[in-house]
Order: sequence, then C-alpha cells, then structure tokens
Amino acid sequence: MSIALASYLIGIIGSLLLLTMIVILEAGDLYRAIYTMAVQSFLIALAGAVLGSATGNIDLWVIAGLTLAVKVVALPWLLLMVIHRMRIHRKIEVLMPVTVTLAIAAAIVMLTFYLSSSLGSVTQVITGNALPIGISLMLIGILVMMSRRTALMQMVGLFASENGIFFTAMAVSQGMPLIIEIGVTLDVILGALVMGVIILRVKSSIGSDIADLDELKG
Amino acid sequence: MSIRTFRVTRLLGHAVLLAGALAGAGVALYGMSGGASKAILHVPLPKFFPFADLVIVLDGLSAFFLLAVSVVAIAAAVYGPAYLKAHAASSPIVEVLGINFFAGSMALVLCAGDALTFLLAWEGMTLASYALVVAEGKKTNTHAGLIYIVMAHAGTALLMVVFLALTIRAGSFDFAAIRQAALSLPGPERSILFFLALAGFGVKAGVVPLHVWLPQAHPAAPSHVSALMSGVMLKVAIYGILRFGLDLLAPVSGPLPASWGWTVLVLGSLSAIIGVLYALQQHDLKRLLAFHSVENVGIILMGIGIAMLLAHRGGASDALAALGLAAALLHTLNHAAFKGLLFLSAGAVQCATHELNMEELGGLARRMPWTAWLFLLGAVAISALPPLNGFVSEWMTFQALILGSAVLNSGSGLAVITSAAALALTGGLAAACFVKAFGVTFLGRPRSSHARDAAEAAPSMLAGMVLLAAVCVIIGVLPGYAMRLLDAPVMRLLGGAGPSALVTVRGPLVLSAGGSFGTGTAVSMTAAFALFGIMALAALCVVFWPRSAGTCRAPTWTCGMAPVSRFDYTATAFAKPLRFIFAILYQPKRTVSKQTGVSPYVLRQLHWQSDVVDLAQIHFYNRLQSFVTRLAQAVRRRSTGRIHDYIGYVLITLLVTLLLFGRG
Amino acid sequence: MELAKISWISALGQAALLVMLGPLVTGVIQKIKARLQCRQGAGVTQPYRDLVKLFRKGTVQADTASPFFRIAPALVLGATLAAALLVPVIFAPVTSGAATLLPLGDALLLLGWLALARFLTAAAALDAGGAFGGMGASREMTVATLVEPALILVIFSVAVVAGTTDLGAIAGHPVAMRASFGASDLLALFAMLILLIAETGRIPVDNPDTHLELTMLHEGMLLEHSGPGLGCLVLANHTKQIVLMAFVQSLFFPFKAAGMDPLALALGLLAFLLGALALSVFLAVVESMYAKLRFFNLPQFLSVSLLSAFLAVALRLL
Repeated sequence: MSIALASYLIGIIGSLLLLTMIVILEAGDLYRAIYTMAVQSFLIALAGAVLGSATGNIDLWVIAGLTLAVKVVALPWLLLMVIHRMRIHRKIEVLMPVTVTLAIAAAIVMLTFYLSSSLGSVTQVITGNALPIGISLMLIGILVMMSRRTALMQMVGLFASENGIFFTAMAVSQGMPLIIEIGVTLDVILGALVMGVIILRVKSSIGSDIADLDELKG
Repeated sequence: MSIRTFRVTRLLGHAVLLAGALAGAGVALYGMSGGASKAILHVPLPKFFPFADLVIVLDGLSAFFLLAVSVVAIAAAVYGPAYLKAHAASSPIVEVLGINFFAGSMALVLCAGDALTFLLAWEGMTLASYALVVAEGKKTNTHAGLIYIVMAHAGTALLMVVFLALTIRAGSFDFAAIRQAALSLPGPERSILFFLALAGFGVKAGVVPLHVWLPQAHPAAPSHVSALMSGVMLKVAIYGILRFGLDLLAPVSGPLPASWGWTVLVLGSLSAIIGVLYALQQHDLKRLLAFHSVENVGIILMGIGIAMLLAHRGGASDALAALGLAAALLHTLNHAAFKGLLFLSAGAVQCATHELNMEELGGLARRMPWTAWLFLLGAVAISALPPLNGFVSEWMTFQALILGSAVLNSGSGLAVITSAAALALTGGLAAACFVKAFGVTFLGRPRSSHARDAAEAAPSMLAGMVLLAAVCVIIGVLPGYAMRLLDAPVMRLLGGAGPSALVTVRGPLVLSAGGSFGTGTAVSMTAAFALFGIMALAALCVVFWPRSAGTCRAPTWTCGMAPVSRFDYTATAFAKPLRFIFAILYQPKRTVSKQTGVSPYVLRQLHWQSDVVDLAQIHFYNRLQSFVTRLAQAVRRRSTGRIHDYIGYVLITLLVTLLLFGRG
Repeated sequence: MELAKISWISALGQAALLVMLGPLVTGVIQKIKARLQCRQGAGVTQPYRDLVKLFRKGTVQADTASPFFRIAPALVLGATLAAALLVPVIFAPVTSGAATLLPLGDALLLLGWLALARFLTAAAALDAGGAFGGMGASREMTVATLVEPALILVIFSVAVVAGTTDLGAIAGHPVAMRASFGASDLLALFAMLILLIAETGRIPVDNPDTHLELTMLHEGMLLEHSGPGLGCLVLANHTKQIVLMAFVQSLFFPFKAAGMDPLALALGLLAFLLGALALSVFLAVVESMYAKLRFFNLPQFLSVSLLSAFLAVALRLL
C-alpha cells in the first residue's frame, strides 16, 4: 500500500472516529452506545492494519488483531451480558444537558488542535491529523465517564478513551513498543472484569446503581 | 390654545422639518458625488466662544450618514401631523420644537469638524430626545427617561475624557489637528482611548451590555420620534465609532491593532444574539422593535469588526476590508429604512387601536390592509430575506466574513466563521420573531374590542411609510446603484478602490464579492427578483383562475366548538419552544398558584405567571444600583445637619488639597 | 455571448426538470417505505395525480382569513421555484478563474429563498385562526432556527476551499477538489444528511403522513389551505425536497457535465438520478427505522449536526 493512499485512509478513519465519538456522546440508549463503541474499536483495528501494511511493521498487525478480538468481540459481549443479567434500564441518564456536553467536546477538539500544532515534530508524516484526533478522543472518553449516571456508560467511556490512546500511539513516530500496547490492553481487560464484578455484586446486594453511592465522604 | 392653533403649529413645525430634511438630503448627495477628494465642504461657524473655532466639515462619511438621517426625517415629517392629531398626548410646541431640534442636532453631530461642536451637538441630541420621551407625562415615561438620561450622560462623560485627552495633546479642538496629533500616540494609550470611545459611543448605540435604556426609552416616545431614535440616533453613535476607529485614532500606516477588531467583532456577535433572543419574548410591539435595534447594531458592528481586522494589510485583505465596511454601511442605511417603516406602522396600529400589546390585537389585516402589507414588507426586510435590502447587506457581510477567514490564519479564521454561524442564528431567530409579530398582530381573529374597531391609517401616515418601503425595495432590487453611494465613505476611511469597483465588477445589476481575486461569487438581485416575480405571478394566475367548483367561506374547524378568538395561538405560546431551548440565557421565572375547592382535585382558580427579565439588568445594573444606594446611605449617615461639621469638612478638604498639590 | 445564453437556457431547463421530477421522488420514497412496512403502497406516480386533483378543486377559505391567506401559497411556490434555478443538476461548466457565467445566485441566495418560503407559509398558518396553524408555525420556525447555523457551516466548510459560495462554481471546480473527498467532507456530509432530514420534514424530526396536531410541524401549517392553494404548497414541498437533494449532490458528489456534448449531459443526468435514488432510499430507510422524536428532544438531535459541521470547518482550517 502506498504512503499517499495510507495517509488518505487514515484521514478518513480519523473523521469516522470523531463521528462515532459524537454518536456515543449523544446516545440515549445503552445498546446504541455499546454497538457504536464496537464500531469505533473496529475502525481502530482497521487503522492499525492500514498503517501496518504501509510501513511493514509487524507489531501493528498484532495490535490490530488484538483490538479486534478483545474490544470488538469480547468486551462488548461482556457488557451485553451484564445488561442482560442485571436487567438494567436501557435509557442513559445524564448529569448535565447533552447540548452542554457537546459544546464541551467541541472546545476539547479545538484545544487539542491548538496544542498539537506545536508538537509537529513528534508525529509521523503518514498519519497527518491523527495526533490531535487521538488526544481529543481520549479526553472526550473521560468526558463521557464524567457526565453519565449509568455505571456501564463509564465503562464505555473508558474503552473509547482507550481507543484514543491507541490512535495517538499510532501517530507518534516510531510507534509504541509492542509490550506497552499489550500491557495497556491487559489493563483494560482487567478493569472491565473488575467493574463488571463490582456492578453485579452491588446490584445483587444493595439493589441500587453505583451512581447512588455517595456516603463515603468526610 | 384652540384646536385650530394646535393643528397649524403641528403642520408648520413638520413642514420646517420636511424642508430641513430635503435640504439635508440634497447636501448629502452633493457631498457624496464629489468623488474621492477629502473634506469637500469646510464651513467655519461664527465665533461663539473666544477659545475655540467652530467649524463644519462634510466629507464622504458624514454625507452618507446625513443621507440616512434625511431619509427617515422626511418620512417622519410626512407622517407626524396625522399621527399626533390622533395620538395627542402632549403640548404641540414641545413636540414640534423637540423634533426639529433633535433632527438638527443629529445633522450637526455628523457634520461637526471640531470637538466642541461635536460635544455640544451630541448633548443637544440627548436633551431633545429626552424631552420627547418624557413629554407624555406618564409614570413609565418618566422612569424610562431617567434611565436614558443617566446612561447617556455616563457615555458623554467617557467621550469628554477622550476628547479632552486628544485636545490637550493637539492644542486645539479642530479634528484635523487632533488627527495630526494622534499619529504620535504610543500604542497602549491609543488603544485605551479607542476603548473608552467605544464604550462611550456604545452606550448610545445600544451595544450589549450597555443597552438597558433602549427597550424602555424607545417605546415611550411617539412613534415617529421612535423611528428617528431607533433608525438614526443609533447610527450617529456608529458614525462616532467609525470616525474614531478608522479616522482619528488610526495609526499612520499599517494595520490597526488586532484587539480593536476582535473586540468590535465579539461585541457585535453578542449584541446580535442577545438582542434578538430578548426580542422574541416581548409582546409589546415597540419594545420588540427596540430589542431588534440592538440586534441590528450588532450586525453592523460585525461588519465593522471584520473591516478593522483586515484593513491596511495589503493585497486581497484590503479589498475584503472595503467589502466588510461597505456591508456595515449599507446595513446602516437599510436598518434606518426598515426600522423606520416598522416603527411607523406600529404607530399606525397604536393610533387605530390605542393598544400596543400583541395579545390584545389580531385580525387587523382585514381592517387596515395597507398598514398590514407595509408591515409585512418591513418584516421580510428585517429578517434578511430576499429580494429586499436586508438580504443584500447580510449577503455582503457573510461574504466578507468567509473570504476574510480564508485570509486570516487558522485559529482566527475559525473564530470568524463562528461569528458567521452566530449571524446565521440571529437571522433564523429574527424570522421567527417577525412571523410571531406579524401573525399575532395582523392575522387571525381580533382579540379585543380595540382591534375590532380599528380603522385604516390616515393617507399622510401611509405616505411616510410608503416612502421608506420604496427605499427598501429599490436597494433590494437594484443594489448596484447603492454601491455608488457607498463609494465616498469607504474610500474616505480606507482609501483604495471603492465598493462600486470592487463589488459590482460586471455592471450595476450584479453584485460580486471577491471578483478581483480568486473565483469570486456573483449574485444578480435584479434577475432573481424578476424571475421570482414572473413565477409568483404565474402561480397567482393558476390559483385565482375561475373554476367550476368556485370558492366558499366557512368557519375554521375548532373541534366542534364555536370558534372564538381564544382559540387563536398567543404570542407567548408561539415563543415558548425557543424560551425552553434557550432557558440558560433567559432564566425564566414561573409562578403558579392554585386555589382548590372542597377536594384538592377540584380546581377553582389557577394563576400562572412567567417572567423573562433582561439578565444584564439583573446581574449588572441592579447590583450597581444597590451598591450606589448603599454608598449614598453610608454618606447620609455622616451628614449631621450642623453647620460646624460642614465647615470642618471644607477645612479638611482644603488642607488635603494644599498638601497634595501645593508644592512646585 | 453564446455561452451566457446557453447558461440561461440550461438554468431554466434544469429548474423545469427539478419541478417535474420532484413529485416522482416523493412517490419513490413513499413506495420504499410501504414495501419496508410489508404493504403494497400507492404507485410512484400518485403524487402527480394528487396534484392534478388539487388544482382542479375549488377553495374553501376560513371566514377570518385575509387576502394574504390566498396570495401566500403562490408567493411560496414562486420563491421555491426561484431557488430551483440556483442549483446545478446536470451542467456545471468548468471556469478558468473568472467568476461564473450566470450570475443568478449562490448557495446563500438559495437558502434565502427557502427561508422566505418558510416565513410566508408560517405567517399564513396563523391567519385561519386556530391552534393547529399556530402550533405548526411556532415549531417549524424553531426547527428552522436550529438548522440555519449548521447549514451555513456546511456551506462554508466547502466554500473555504473553493473560494466561492456559488454552487455552479463549486460543482465545476477543477479536479483537485473533486477527487479528494477527505476527512472534513465526511463530517460535513454527516451533518448535511441530518439537516436534509430536518429540512424535508421527515421522521425523526417531523412526520409527513400524520394529521395529529402534536406530531405535525410542516403539515400543521398546511392544514387550513385547500384546492389550488394547497396544490401550490404541496408542489413547493416536493420541489424543495429535490432541490435539497441536488444541493447535497453538488456540494459533495458533483459529477456534472463540463461541456454541452450529449454524452456528457446524459452521464450527468444519470449521475443525478442515481444520487437522487440513493438519497431517497436513505430517507425512506431512516423513516422506517426510527420513531419520531419528542419535540423538545429535537435540539439535542440537531446539535449533533451543528457539532459535526463545526468540526468539519475546524478540520478544514486547522
């Protein structure tokens, strides 16, 4: 695959990632958020494959496969199982109005573009806009975690943030070492399992959602 | 005085105003036809003061604004006598003297060639309009007049500081000397003076957050005076901003400081959005129109802002600065025309029904058809819809903003495009507001006996309105000719080529932006209007073609009940979705009180009240007012009433002054 | 000038084509929706028969309505037809630096004409005096307010590159722009598709098939009109829909003929029809998949398009 074609495809994938992030922010339904997050992870895997075939780096192929297996298949399945077990409401409740959240997301994208214009020497030429898009994805993932009541949405936000970190790592020159990528993925799997267990236990013993727990204070 | 002398005084007074306005228009047109030469008319006045020479200077910029003043004054003069006859609420001498003095002092401000004439005429303008606002003697009028005069004088104080600083530096009151002296000002001091002048003129122009007096003072005056205040007095303040920013305080060469352009652009965007948002929630016709003036001043400032950002940078951006300034100036003239038209129609409604609350009107289109169609024309013009003049100036502003954003670098370009999106938002909101205003006032069923007994306005009132409507239509359909009017002011302020060379590259019937570089965009309002007219006529023929089935009238279906006016949609209900969506900016208050009967499920009475108060007023002015009151009360506690204490205060002040300033 | 005369004829011809194909597009969308709902549905030419029926009928007018009520539908149709002249359908000549040949209008004038049509429809709706018209007018103007900034941002994201807002020039721009459908265009297209749904009044923004007052935006404004007046408004609605489809195509997928040779024109026409078909399928599928949104949830839905358009402009400039 030629450099120009790879660069063009990564640009398109970058804007599709932004699109999926907007859809996750605006989603009112848990199923839509989870499926969109799976699509986003698929796009990350695709980006890894494109970059791998353009630069000939084997590590990127491994990461793409790992992302595909873990974040497109396994983790969404885990989340859907939690929903089914706990019979959670599908509707996502928000702590601040969606329009405000969208405005903050716009501001975050502006900020990352402004900041990354001074980091130009760090990125590879092939990836173009990927650095600011990756950083803004990560920050918007944290925004999703912060502004949604449902505990499951915090997991979705974490995974989306994760996707952003991967995309940033691809943008940085010379790529990140494989061992770190595997380590991050392992952390995410562990986090997901711990969260899943805690949500199930809390629900079965107390009967309420995590968002209602606020007694642990001074 | 008898009724006969009242009428004669009115007619004479308004005839004087008409003559003066026609003369003004003639002088203005002569001034603008003089070409690109600098000060064309230089008339020294008799020496009233021993320390200063008073002089009148008429250059391109003054001539253009003088034309705007004259056009609205002509319409007001024709409209005035019949309106005051129906609506007589104050002494005719005050009315007649007031309006002549008002128009005369505005013309003098525009032509002033030195600081003293400017300030004296400015003060005269404020006092004359104050007199006209409080002439009616009602309590709301006096309150509105008080707020107006206090704020106007605060603005004048700021202007005096700026003028005095410049005069001291120049050693003379003359504008030419001031211009010369300002060339050697250091950068920060120049910016401080500009911002002070912007604040001082901003009070009079109605820029947010200094606009609080506008919605109270403009509705209180008689309608043709409101037309002059809203259509023209605000423009005199814009003239002041242009005179200071681009002429007196401008650096000798090179671009203006970026902070000037950005401040004006941001203030303009804010005023536009906030003005139209508050206008949506009003149901008093004149108050609604007053808030729309705030919005349109914002749009004018956006054009001025982009012109300031791009001026004197060389190459393409000079042409774009000229485009932006031309857009702002054309919007000035357009706003004077359509706002004047709308205020005069509101006055006609007031004369016919003695009521300005929309919720009490309705169905006036069948009783006052001419007024209704003229109001519709004004509404279409102010919502910036083709083929009228509002669309032309907004089109030019959009083109200046987008082509300008391509010239500025990335971050600034994005900010400029955001303000263009804000301009689009205000266009949509203005259209919604005027559908409400026109629909609830003129269409549907009459909601009160006032509306049922309305009669058409007098012919002279209609003549004044038709004049302004004609101006709207002509500028909308033949904008290329209006570009020739804009040549003189734009070339005076920015130098270089004028709009008729930049914007009408292919003849006066085609407007073209950016044609001197790049691909450019061209639009022919005349051709578009002609095609629209042909197709609408064809459709009209199809609709009105006699058919065998015929036409019949039937009552509206209201779910089986007899249709009464209570079924019609109210203005408050019309604006409810937008009130809900923009609740963050409105912070509406709602109080509901219920009175139940025997059981809590049986409702005897329900009282529902909703308020939308101007946020600037609550957070800024009420706090300022309570602070001043507390300060005054603290001082009051110190005053004992005994003369010995007061003499003691005088002694202490003298000692302190001697200590501070006595040496050297 | 020879080429100028050709441009005039082509503009009028393209507008006539749009007017004639407008009801067909509506018929196709209705047919696809019907098949997706497992029923036969009316034929694709049903809208034409409805229009003929309406234009033959007499008028029943409310007794409170003024003459404005009868004149407004004709003005609305005139404005929409004037908008149809401004969008290139088949023929978009490639220019070499100078301004376009036919200075009729640009994208801003097109939006202006559509806004005038909406203004007059909404004002006329208040004339018959009843709650249906008022509610429909109020809601339609609110949706218009939310849609306008996003539309302007979409136009600007394309115009910043092309240096002009003229649709013919954008569509006929040299190859460099046409071939590179990039990241920013994707976001702008997403925003424009949402705005297309909002402007044509389809689910999830508005339900074009219902007559219950709480679910009507556009239909509520048409309720009191009858006979030829209603015919004008319905024809204007069909025309507006196909004009917006041509607008989307000329901004994002402009495969237009550059010269007057018959092969290029035929290919251009084919490209336009395929594009219209694709957009019709899109609209029909979205209408069948989603339910109508509650009115006060609409700002949230439309702010997605605003954010997308804003990001498109940002990606273009930064």
